[in-house]
Amino acid sequence: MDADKKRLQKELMTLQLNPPVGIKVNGDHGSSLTTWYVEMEGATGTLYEGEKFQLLFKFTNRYPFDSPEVVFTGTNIPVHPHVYSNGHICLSILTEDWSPALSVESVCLSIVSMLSSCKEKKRPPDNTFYVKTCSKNPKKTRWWYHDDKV
Amino acid sequence: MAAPMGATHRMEEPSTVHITVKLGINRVLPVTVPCNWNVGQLKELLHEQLDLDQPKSLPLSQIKILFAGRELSDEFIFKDSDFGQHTVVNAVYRPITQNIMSTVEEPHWLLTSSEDRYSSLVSSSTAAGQSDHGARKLFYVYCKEPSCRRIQPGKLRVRCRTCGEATLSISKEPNCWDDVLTPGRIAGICHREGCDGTVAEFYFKCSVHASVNERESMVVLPLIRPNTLNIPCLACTDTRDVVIVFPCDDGHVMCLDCFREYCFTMLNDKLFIHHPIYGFTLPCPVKCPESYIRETHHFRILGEEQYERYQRFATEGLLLSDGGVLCPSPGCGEGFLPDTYVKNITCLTCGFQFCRNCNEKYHIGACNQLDAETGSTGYGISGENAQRACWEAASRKLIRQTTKPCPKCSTPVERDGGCMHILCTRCQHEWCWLCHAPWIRNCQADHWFG
Repeated sequence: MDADKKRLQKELMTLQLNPPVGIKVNGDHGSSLTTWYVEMEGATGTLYEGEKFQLLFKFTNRYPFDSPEVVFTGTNIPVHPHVYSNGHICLSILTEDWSPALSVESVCLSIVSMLSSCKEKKRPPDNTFYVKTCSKNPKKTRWWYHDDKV
Repeated sequence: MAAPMGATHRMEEPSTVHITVKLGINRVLPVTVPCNWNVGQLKELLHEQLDLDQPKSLPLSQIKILFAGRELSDEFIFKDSDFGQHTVVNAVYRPITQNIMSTVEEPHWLLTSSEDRYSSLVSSSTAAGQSDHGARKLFYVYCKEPSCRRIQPGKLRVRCRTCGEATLSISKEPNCWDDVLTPGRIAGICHREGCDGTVAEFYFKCSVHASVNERESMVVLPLIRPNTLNIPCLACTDTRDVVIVFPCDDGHVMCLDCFREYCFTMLNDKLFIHHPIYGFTLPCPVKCPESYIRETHHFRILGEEQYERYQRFATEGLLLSDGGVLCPSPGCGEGFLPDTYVKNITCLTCGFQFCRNCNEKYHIGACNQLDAETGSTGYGISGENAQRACWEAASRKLIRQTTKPCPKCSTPVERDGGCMHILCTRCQHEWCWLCHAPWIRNCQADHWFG
């Protein structure tokens, strides 16, 4: 088995056997090893408590050296200053700060934490414009990480 | 199913050992002795054999056998120490003086093992039932011999820095990488007649094949080591026998397959950096501070073809940062360091004459005036050439329509979605797609997207 598949298989096993609170890999979506759907619940005590979201992960055969493509998908896209209404997420570990030492679990936990620290639910200021002009793949966007507080 | 008879017996060991004894610079005496012999018996054999062609040789008691910087004691038994086949030892006649290390039972820090034991990089674990002693490979080298051309277990050896012969006994054992890698740290005494060398020189050999050339030495890769602590690779999470340990405080571990993949990905993404001291290198993949790989030969893991690419990128980057230029002619790329005022540059390799500012064919007057006027030379050209000119004109037109040149290095840049903030992957210049000028805060405020 190729290195990427082996690693993904291991990550999948760990996540299924021992999932972090509020995170669950969805197996019924016709997921393959290279496309994962992850169910995510807004953490208690935050603006997103009680909300359910779905993340779509896509992996290339260069994973974990190549970062996964991660977007919110489904009917409920969180309203957040770093999440565009098309599901694209502005989070540096998904592009230039990616490292092969990161994993699906660490990406999910970073996203939960990003949501949890939000003080006001709103879309990014350039949302309308970005959603109209961007590429389908968020990895093709050269993000400008101007604010690491939210 | 019952186990076959004799399944548990140990692999039969050879009953004899081939040793190459060096006597002076050009005299070599290959001998084959039983494994259970000791050094005293070897000396007697040597004495007898030498007496045949040199009747007046020195007394037996003055023969010293030197191996890896130590004198071997008469009680040293070849079998017990895993003395490898075709190991080279030196026989000298000069009395060894008091101020050097006393003789030892065996030079435990430098044991060699059978030259033929290795079949592959990962076979370094010892076979069942076999003693661990002498089989723990701590050193890895990049072997540049055509038959290897890969990372292999290495053997540390010592020789006299003055005469280059292994006739030196050392005054102190090396106990860190600095002792071995920094020249002149360990003293010794050379016992070769006519040599008064007093400094040890350490070097590494490939342990997979017998030396092709006795003076060969391989570059050692200090970050690569056997995975004695069984740490899983941070990328594939497999626990492998040989790993690279990054020079960060945590000592992050990667297996060699993943390390090769990491280097290859970073090379393709142009993410190697030019470090002022260590050169073109990479940090620990976890991005730990101060974790750059210092010995760039570790990138040999890329293989011949990709390592050449690595070297080319390193040279190009260095040249461009020094104000140099690269010939823009397709397939050439020759580098130059012309004086800053020179605008008209002729490539010494391919003869192409180009403008330093726009990288186009040299022209008089302002840049960007040169359009698809190719072929209007005023004299007849062959049909074939005309066709080719059309093709290249078309391709130039396409590039001109879809790209903008980087304002600093003129590399054509295609914008495939995203924002206006462009980072040139060749010269790292940050510029604005709309202004075609360096990226400033106002660009972000006025036309970040669009």
